[in-house]
Amino acid sequence: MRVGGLGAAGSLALGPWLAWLLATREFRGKRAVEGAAELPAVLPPLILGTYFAFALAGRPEGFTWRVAALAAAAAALRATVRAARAAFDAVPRGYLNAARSLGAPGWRVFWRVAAPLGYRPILAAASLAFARLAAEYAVAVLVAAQGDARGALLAGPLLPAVGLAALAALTAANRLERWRARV
Amino acid sequence: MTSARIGKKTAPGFALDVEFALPQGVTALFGPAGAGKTLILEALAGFATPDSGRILLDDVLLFDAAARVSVPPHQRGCGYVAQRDALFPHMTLRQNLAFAAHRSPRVERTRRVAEMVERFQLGAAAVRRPRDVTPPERLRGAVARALLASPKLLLLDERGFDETLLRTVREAFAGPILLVTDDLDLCSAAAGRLILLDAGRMVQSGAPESVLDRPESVAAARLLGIPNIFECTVAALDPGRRSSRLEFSGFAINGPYLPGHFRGDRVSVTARPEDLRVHAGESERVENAVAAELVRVSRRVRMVRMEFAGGIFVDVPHEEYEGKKDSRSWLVEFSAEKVRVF
Repeated sequence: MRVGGLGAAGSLALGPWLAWLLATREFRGKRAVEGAAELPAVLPPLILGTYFAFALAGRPEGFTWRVAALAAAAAALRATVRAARAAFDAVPRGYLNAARSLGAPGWRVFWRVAAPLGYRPILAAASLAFARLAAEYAVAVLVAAQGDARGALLAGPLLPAVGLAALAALTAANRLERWRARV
Repeated sequence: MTSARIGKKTAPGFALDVEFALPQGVTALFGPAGAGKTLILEALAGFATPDSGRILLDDVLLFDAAARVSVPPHQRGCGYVAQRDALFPHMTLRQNLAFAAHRSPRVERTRRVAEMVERFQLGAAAVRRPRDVTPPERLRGAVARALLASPKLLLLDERGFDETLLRTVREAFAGPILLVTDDLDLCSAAAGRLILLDAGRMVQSGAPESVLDRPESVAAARLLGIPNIFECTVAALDPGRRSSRLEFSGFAINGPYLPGHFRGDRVSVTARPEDLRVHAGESERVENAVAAELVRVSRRVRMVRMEFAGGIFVDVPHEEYEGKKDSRSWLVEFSAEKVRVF
């Protein structure tokens, strides 16, 4: 839960900004950033976590829950960036143009106009990412555990907790998607 | 000085190519849908990038295609009131106004917002969100918000303006205002300058009364909704009497003298329906009149429009029509001074 929560929160903190940058700015290396944001589509969180463990601790044994949370955030980034780009594209241009004509720079347009009008699909994507990350980390822990430890994990609260988290995340995402902004 | 030269190709077959100056006061931009009015405003505001041209606002360069200069929209100082999606829906009107005054210190901001709320009569509406207020309140709120950002140029792309609101705006803002409108009465009453736009080109510009009274081309006459547009031949020219004889298919009239034209030239003639007169009965002797068959009559608020065979339209007051309506034959009188020949 901790890994999933921190991963989703991390992606939520960075994803919308990155999406806003990609949606509104032209800069050198934009394609590379877009490609990097898509990397988790081909690299599972476990592999990403191993890379991070190598990069941060210099050895695979450095795969602590903190490194796992970092890898989870990177893995969830793809979903939040995609959701945020779609959400920002759905915000009528008129509102963004109005804000610019009132002298608001890009960050203020994002913070005061685009984010409040488009946050629901972004939150929905983050909540789904949380459920998926929690489940993937649980699988990794189960596979890694040996003998009695695996039995204890299977008999313990891990699986019901992951299931409940997935159900809650799905419900939340569904409500957020359906709860259209009253404008 | 504020001026713009804008060239931009958008869809195949459409190219915007305009050049105009914006003096202090209201300049009205009038044209059919798709003429490029909104594109001009977007180019001035910085939301659309022209392919060519140059935009100066108060002698400050905002855009120059050749020099690759383009000031970003938030630094241009162009207040913009759009047709739709003007006020932020997640804020109350007062919050919308405060958003525009964000550069002012808190106390100053509160004072300026309160002043605009009062000036634009938004008292009760100020605490509501845009969806909960009436369209006129929304428009007043959007204008008040644009003015709070202290613009140097005001761009109004909203058809809901009336004379009273425009007067209130002018009391609060002394700079140039570019107004997109389809209301010629409003142009005449409130604008200092009128630009006629069609298919991305300026057809005519000048003082509203001059443009409305003296369209300089068939295109301008069409834009102004003048229905009497005829093709004819110059049958005679009389420099002594300063007159001409114009032959249409089926009738001929005396027109103004046409310097630079020759006998046999094909020309276009326009006449406002209110500048033509109708006479009932054949017995009347009327100069410069043609017999015409009445085809249709449509009653309007201020007058009756009579349509005659050959596409001749005449507007007459209700009382005059009531007095003549039983007539079986009609004469339409053209005034040589009031027909325009191109």
